[in-house]
Amino acid sequence: MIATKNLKRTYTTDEVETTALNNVNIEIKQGEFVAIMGPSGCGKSTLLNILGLLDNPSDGEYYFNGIEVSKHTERQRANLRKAHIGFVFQSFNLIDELTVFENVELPLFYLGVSTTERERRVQEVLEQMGIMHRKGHFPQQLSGGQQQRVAVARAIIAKPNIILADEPTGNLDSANGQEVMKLLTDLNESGTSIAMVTHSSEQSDYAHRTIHLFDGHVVTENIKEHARA
Amino acid sequence: MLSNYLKVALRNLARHKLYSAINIFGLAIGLACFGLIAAWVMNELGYDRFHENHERIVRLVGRVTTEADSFDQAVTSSPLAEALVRDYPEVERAVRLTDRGAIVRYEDKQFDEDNLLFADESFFDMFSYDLTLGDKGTALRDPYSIILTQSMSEKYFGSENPVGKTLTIFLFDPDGKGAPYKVTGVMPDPPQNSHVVFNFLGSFNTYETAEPASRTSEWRWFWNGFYTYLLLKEGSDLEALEAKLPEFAERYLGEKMTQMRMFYTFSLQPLDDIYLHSDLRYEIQVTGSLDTVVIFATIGVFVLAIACINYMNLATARALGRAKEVGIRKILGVTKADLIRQFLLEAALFAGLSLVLAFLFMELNRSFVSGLTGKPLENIFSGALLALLLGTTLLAGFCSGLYPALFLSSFKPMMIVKAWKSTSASVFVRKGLVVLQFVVSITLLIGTGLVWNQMEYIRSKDLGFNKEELLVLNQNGFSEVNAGIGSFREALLSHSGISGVATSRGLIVGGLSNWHIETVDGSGKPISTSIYQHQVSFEYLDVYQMKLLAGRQFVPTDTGSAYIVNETAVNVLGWGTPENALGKPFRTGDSNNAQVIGVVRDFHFSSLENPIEPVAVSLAGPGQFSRISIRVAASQLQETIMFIKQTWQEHFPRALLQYSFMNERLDRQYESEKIFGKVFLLFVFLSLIVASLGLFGLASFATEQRVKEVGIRRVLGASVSGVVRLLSKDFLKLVAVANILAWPLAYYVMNRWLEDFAYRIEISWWVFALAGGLAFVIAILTVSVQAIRAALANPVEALRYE
Repeated sequence: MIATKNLKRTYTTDEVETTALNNVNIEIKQGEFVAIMGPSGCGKSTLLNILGLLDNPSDGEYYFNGIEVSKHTERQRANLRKAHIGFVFQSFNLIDELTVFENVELPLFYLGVSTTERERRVQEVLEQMGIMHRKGHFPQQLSGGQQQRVAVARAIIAKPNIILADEPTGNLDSANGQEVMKLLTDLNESGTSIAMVTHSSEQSDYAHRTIHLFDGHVVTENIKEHARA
Repeated sequence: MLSNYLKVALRNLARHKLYSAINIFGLAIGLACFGLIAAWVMNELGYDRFHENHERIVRLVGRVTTEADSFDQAVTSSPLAEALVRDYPEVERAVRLTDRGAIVRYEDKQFDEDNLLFADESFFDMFSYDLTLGDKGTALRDPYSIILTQSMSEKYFGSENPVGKTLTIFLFDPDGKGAPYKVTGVMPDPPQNSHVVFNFLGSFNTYETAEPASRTSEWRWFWNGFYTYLLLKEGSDLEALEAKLPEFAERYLGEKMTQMRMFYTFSLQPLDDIYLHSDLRYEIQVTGSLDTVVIFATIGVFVLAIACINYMNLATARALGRAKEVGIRKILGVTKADLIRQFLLEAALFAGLSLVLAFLFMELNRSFVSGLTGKPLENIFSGALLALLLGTTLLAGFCSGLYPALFLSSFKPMMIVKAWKSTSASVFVRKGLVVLQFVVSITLLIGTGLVWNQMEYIRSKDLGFNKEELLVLNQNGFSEVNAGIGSFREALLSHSGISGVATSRGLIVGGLSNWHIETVDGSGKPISTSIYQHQVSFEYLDVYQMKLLAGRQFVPTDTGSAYIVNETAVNVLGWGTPENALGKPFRTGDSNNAQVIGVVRDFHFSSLENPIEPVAVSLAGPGQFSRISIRVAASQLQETIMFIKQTWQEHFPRALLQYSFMNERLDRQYESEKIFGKVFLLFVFLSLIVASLGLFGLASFATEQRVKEVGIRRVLGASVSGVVRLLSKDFLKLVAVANILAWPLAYYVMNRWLEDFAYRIEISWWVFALAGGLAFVIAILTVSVQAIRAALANPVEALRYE
């Protein structure tokens, strides 16, 4: 469902041109769980931003569901984003002024889902995540693990084809981290593709396949025979 | 969607209480200020518009040209009205007015009343006034008829119906014992926004009956004491009619004008223009000033602009705090248009809250401002003003929401979620806006300083006579006072606290009239001109402590034969030196063989807005006076006044005693300037509050933004004072720039204001320095509160977040 061809991203400041990604060719199939690894500054996040349609590549092609999207406008990308992609971040990125329920509900707002339908689906997802009893709380009133579960709930509420996770357990202790990984794995098993940036090899073990980036290049791709359950 | 936006907006408001308060409060003050000023401006602009025929009513005014002088006057003579209606078909009707003051008595009630207006019978056909009692068609028909306003009816008659009853008024009564006036009607109190307000409305033929010569004298065309209003026929051309007036003047006044070598021309003023555009000699009542309206309208717009600027500034600064939310919304697929809508909605919400608060402020301060300006401001919640305020609020909300809306919605989503830094462009705009508000505040401060300086200058200026410890008594038309003045004067002079008593017709505070004279110039060529005249008793110059430059004082036998002129008259008439003036012939209506016997140093006899003009002082006949001036000693003032009251009672038991101090009367001439100064001060104060609120909000944001930097500096050993200096420096630079911009602006504006005064201060540099210094102090106080808080915070707290 995702494929890139000679993807390139450069940043230009006053005098220096930095190449963050250079000739990146990757493919993620429907239902796959892919980990992206590499040291700090290797271009992991840049790649994830481009895959998430938050940024356009400087050069190369990007096929999303078979459509070339690298030249799409912000508006076109926004429309694809809200319908097909869910995001999970290291720092949760919940809106502080909204309650748990309202945060999770937000993507459905932007998709124009009716009030009763929204309510039903948010209930369902919150129950699935085990945070129903917290639905009236504000983000600051929750633990890190709970906040990330809210974030995951928000990511899956619109039933996206793919979830992009940027170090989803980076701010969590190991018990909470494992919980979140379990959630992601369950989602994957029910058919959602997942691309996850991490620098923990323990976490990458959950994935079917690991892509290693170094200085903006793909250096190796390891395919596992059995992903950890 | 809407409810979601509202929810976020309200929760944001509650979470950032300080900023919300500053935002809403600041805008509310701005709006309230603007609203009050707008109410006042609309009142000033709306004068005389309540007359149904206001577009067709004009006032006839005259220009007098002599060999030495030329001036415009609002007054005309009484026969002109009838002649105009007769000669020109486009004149539908004419109404003459004359405005007087007099003692009014009913049974045991007796008051000194201003604003007794006398009008022709057709008054009600021209002007839109109603009667609650009486008949409009006949109420002004007979001589000695009078209509009372509601408040006067209550004052004299309580709840009784006054129609048919009789008031005694000391006006147009040849024997000075009070004339009976029959009450023919009662009317609601007339609207205050008219260039002529009145409490009593009498019939014009009362005057003509008391002065039969006004209908017969061949000189009646030159007795200028009346205001002539014309109602033009629908569709007639004012300029075309005006073009016929020179010929009109020639027809009726021509022969006498040539004889006097003094020429009259006439012009027409639309009624709508009188209040704000007319400032002639002998206006019926004090007119307004278009300049003042413009100045206050500008201040109102500026204060509102400052409040909007603050809103924009704070909202933009808050973008920092909202950036994450915007980023998340963008990642979730919101469009730019949605975001703009959200921010505009929030701005509208804030602006709406401010408007509600503004109305509260306006209502609370209405009576205060109304007392300050002397205008009732009844129209504060009028439809037009409501619409204006609502429109302004929406516009302010829109403008102040638009910038942050565009600014925030243009963020790249990832850029926001990760880290956000102000772009240099937005910082520049914000700084520019801070500078702008300080420019306004400093300009207003300098303005206040200079207005105050000018008032002080006027108060202490040498007027050419000693205005202190001078008590003035009114004769008020009581003939017994004229008759008994001799013994009254003797009795007063027996008291050790009284050093002099003099009488005069009229007073030198804003009330001399001018007369036609004939004399010769320096080379002996006959000239004829018009000159102010003051008729006094022979002790007058001594009592007023005026200085004689040449010649001699009056002696009691000088009546009708001697004049003392002022320095300006010597110059205008071309006599060169005071000594040269002595012995010059001086012919007026009632004295044929008079001459100049003395020259007095220039003294001011009207407001210092006007330069001193030529004046001739002459000796009034015995018993001819309307004022008694008494020079008293400051040391035993209370006791002396008691003595004067007692003596008055003994001599004139039936007459009302009214006295005032000369310096207080003089002060009253500058009432409008004083109001101007006070109102100016009020708005300066408000604009400073609003500007400081804005600066405070901005400084706290700037400080918040630098919490980490401050933490690192403190860890590395920076002192508290060092940090405070660091954080304050940027803002003080802005105030410095604002000073540089404000000074020339204030100089220009205030120089123009001062041009209205014939006697004015020089603009002094220290006012500028003081205003600038004050702005610095305010800025330092505002900013350092935040800076000190940041500097004193535990640096570990600041660094833990990263």
